[in-house]
Amino acid sequence: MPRFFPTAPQRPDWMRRPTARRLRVYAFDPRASSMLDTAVMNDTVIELPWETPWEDEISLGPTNDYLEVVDIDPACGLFYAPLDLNDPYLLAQDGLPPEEGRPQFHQQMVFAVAMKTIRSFERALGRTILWAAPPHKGDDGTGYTRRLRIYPHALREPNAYYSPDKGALLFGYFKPDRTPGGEQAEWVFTCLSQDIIAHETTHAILHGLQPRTIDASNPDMLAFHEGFADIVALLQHFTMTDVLEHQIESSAGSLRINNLMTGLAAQFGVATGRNGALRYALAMIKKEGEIQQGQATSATVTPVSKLEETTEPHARGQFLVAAIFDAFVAIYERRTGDLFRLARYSGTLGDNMPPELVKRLAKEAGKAAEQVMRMCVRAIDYLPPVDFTFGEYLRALITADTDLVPNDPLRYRVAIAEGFRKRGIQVPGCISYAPESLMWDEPDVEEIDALKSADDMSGLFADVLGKLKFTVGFGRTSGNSDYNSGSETAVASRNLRKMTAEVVQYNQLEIWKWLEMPSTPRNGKTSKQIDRAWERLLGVRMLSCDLGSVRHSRSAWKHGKGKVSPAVEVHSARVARRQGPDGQELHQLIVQVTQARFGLYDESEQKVLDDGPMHAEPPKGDFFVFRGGATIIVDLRDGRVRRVVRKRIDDDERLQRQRAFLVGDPVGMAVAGKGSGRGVEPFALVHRC
Amino acid sequence: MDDLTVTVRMYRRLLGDCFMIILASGEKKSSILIDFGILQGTPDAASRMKAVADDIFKVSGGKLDLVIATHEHADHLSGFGFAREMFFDNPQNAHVPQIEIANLWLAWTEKSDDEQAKALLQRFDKRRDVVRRLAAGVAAAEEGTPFAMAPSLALDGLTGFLEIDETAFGVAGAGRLTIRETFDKLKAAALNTVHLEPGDAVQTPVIPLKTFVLAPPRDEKLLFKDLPSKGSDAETYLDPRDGEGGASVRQSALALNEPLLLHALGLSESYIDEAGGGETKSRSPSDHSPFSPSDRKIEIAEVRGIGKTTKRAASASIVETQRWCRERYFGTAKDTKAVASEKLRRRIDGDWLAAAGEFALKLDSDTNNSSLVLAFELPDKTFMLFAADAQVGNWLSWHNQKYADGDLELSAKDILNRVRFYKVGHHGSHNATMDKQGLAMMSRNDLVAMVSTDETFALKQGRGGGWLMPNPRVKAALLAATKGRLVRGDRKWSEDEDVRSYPISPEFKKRLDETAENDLYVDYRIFG
Repeated sequence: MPRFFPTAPQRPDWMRRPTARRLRVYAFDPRASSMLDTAVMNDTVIELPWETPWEDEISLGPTNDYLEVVDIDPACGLFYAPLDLNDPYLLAQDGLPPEEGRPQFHQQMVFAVAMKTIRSFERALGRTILWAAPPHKGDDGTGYTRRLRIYPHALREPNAYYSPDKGALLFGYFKPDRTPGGEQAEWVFTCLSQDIIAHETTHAILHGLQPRTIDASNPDMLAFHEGFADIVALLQHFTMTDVLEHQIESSAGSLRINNLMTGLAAQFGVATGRNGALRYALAMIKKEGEIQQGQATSATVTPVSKLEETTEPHARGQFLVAAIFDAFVAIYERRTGDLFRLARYSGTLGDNMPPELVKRLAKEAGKAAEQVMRMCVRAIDYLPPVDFTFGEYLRALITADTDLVPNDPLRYRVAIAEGFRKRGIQVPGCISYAPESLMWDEPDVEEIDALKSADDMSGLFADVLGKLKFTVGFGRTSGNSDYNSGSETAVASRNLRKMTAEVVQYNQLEIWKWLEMPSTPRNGKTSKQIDRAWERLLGVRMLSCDLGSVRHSRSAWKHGKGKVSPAVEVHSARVARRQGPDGQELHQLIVQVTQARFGLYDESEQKVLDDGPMHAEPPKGDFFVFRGGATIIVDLRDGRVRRVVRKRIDDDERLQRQRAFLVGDPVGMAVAGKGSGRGVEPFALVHRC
Repeated sequence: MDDLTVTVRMYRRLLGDCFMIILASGEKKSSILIDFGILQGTPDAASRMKAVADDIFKVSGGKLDLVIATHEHADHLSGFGFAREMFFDNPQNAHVPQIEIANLWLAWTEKSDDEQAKALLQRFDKRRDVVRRLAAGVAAAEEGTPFAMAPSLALDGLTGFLEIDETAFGVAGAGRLTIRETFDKLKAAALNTVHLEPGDAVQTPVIPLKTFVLAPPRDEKLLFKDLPSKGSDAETYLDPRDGEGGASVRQSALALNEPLLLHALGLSESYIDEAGGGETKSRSPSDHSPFSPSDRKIEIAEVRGIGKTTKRAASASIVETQRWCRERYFGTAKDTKAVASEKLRRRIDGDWLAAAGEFALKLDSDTNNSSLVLAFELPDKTFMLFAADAQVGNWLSWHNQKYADGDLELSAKDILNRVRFYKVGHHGSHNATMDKQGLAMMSRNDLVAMVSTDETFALKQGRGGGWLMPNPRVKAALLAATKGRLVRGDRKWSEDEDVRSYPISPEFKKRLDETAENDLYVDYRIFG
């Protein structure tokens, strides 16, 4: 029965906090427990760091700083009682034992796996995860979503999704008629699948990192979301050492076999009529191999679908999954080739593998997975804020990795570029797939002549850097008392994550103000010249009113009444501290600036709108929102602007492509068209028919 | 009858069925109308149907020798409502051309003195009632009902039915006909009405063509089988690997939600199937929870404190849990306005109702299986097959009876083997053209198919990706079976890229006439 743990128990000083909270979960899903060969390893434990003094304690739900589980089953008219993880009985046995029939175990597992996913993102990003801001003011009017909500039993259907509107993960449960094998059908709970939980949590994290990733402006945007979520779920398999060892032994050390490690959501897949997992990382690669060897005949093997013909987001996302997973396997194989040779192990099934080799291989696989995961996650910061493609993700990935790890002795970057090339993922604007040519260019100093100051690039951002906060501070500072903990007593109970969010909001506002205000004349350049240069650099309109279709500010506070200027949004201003494998440290400010422009389906009408005056309100009739903007990466060691990754707002070709995508593609229409996006759930686990 | 010509006319650019068979032999002319409808919610449905009615008048000279109404759906019959003054309600001295109906063919399901037909009708009525209640529940969601919280797009499947309420069913003022009234008016207008049974052999009037009645079946198991079987038993062109698209999975998810949806509408959970006035099982929604009774103690109604008083003296811990749930999910009076609206935003009361649109479609699609399916025999012993909207169960039933052809007995396979013209079932949807028991048997190499569809408009229906009409797999199978002689309602054959890769005989092109003004119809001269 729920009970509340006393908040401040009297403990002697020498009694330390535990380091970790251990919670029992299924390694995969309940199906693996019901099969003899996998049952032994399917019970596993997730270790979460114990709450720090600057976080909220875990309470009923479970609820903590990041998540709150609310177990309502609206169809059945029920709540299931919330779990208290602080109950001594649970603390003493690593939480509830796995049990499908116990809703509180479902709460425990969904909580534990979601937290594990969050922690692995934080490790890679070097900063705290924040959820996407609510559509309006949100929680207590702060404009910040404190906790992602998780509903483990929200739906009665084979599906699960992240709802951007509700800031929540919704999991479904269902009971199939019968399984294809004729087995007795059982209830299937999507909230008991590690893969599904990790996948949906990733959607939420990604949305928090890049708020505009949910705009389906081209075929890759939603597909990227789906593919990326699958990659995270797959790579997380390799963090469970005992499971990994078991599977490596049974596959003779190969990661190119379809099994639990390389499949996603096995129970769900079988229950929805498949022969195995919902999706396999390597399904496409295997087929490619078969075709190369001439084994494939059109009657037995579906031809590998072509990227340009695949528009359904999950299917298209599989190209990304295959590209990255292939690279991961190639890296693993390079790292372990010597081990196979040293152990003189043939690598054929049936040949008993020495247990030492199993352990070493598992270690290498785990390490490679961790590194690939970090590379993939870090790349997010290097993406343009809007309308990117798989090819641009590759460029972001290579650039982010090069910035942190200049040397690449094991050629990880080559492996990844190769993976993308083999899937036919195009990288427009690059002459080859060599990592050097895939890098984002540094800002062109000549182009921004007007911005030059005495020390070139480093002065570029100097104006605004002085106004920003780079960490949560102590004590009162210059009139901004609301984001600092004013007194000593507050330090003891302050919530670091909440304060981080406040710092981010503060920085966003400062940068926004700085962008909106005319620049200070400098080095003989007029304010106007400097502003024009900034507009060219960031690809957005800030003061020029030459493009009528750009949305303008409603509150033209800075120019006096009646004046208008283009509206600029600052989505994120985060400080990342990253550490490379050899201890290299990178300290960066990442700012996303975006702008909206109204798109019309008729080109000549668009021309009229472009040449006309600016509007705050959308035009009458059918329109779509076209966005542009830039991600600015500032190296905080010297204040230099390292990268500006932009999508120009005045790029009419890109506008034309988005228009064609919206008109010609029913998938795009269903998600992005029709003006309003309210009520749409773009992230369902499977495409609803 | 040496100089007999038979032409099939498909009216174009609409999602719905409107077909004419135009016969001529010497001096004699005869016209047969098979269905006359357009999907509710189509823009300018009225003017488009009137244009078709004018053409029907022109071709028939004001006298239809035979009207065939295949089943009770608006997209097959609404035209009679839109052009009612041409068919039924002739205002005195109005200058409206009048169309006379000599014969009317209906399925046995429309027989008023048939016990099975009456029971079936009642069952269909109840289904429609549920659909109407769902649509109404969504349209006028009251605060506190889950419908008020339902995500709008998820219920898109219901918009079609909402419009039934506004137009066809909105008797007051709108002056339109319900489908049931349309049937009654047709019966009253026709000089002679015939109800057809599966296995019947009949003759068309004036210029006789022998006609076999393939369906609807009397077997209710088949009558209510809409969707293909699973796995290798699959009868249609669905890819079994489509998994989540796999119809059977959706079907079982629907079965899970059906009783709860009925509960949400305030109906007993066996409402649809129960006999009138019979006893009903009284289960509460919480009985459908997969968890054990000891986990079902925290009822939402009690947590909210509405409508229900606590039945039992709840233990302190339950009261405490209820309080926690209320504060966390619904909020309390103490919440500030911002907090309260935030809590409201994050509630999920209605998300599970995403199943409602699909549920309505399923209920509605059972009617498709009551389609009257006819095979008209041409003098060269080949057949024209009109499958209306027949779905899986209907197709399967064709094989359950023999068809008397003089001294011979034909099987459904014999008929299908000789089909030379196929009116594609249900606008080319996934479950209305069978594979092994159907199209695969239409093995003549001069097969021609016509599909009445509007692909673009269909994609805007329903939720998610819309309706696939034609379904890509069905389309591929049809193209292969007809070797490119697939004529669509929504595009000219001569402009259809899909048929480009097939070698086409000049004979086919000569028989196809796509020159109608405004693309109103396409003619194919199948005989003579």
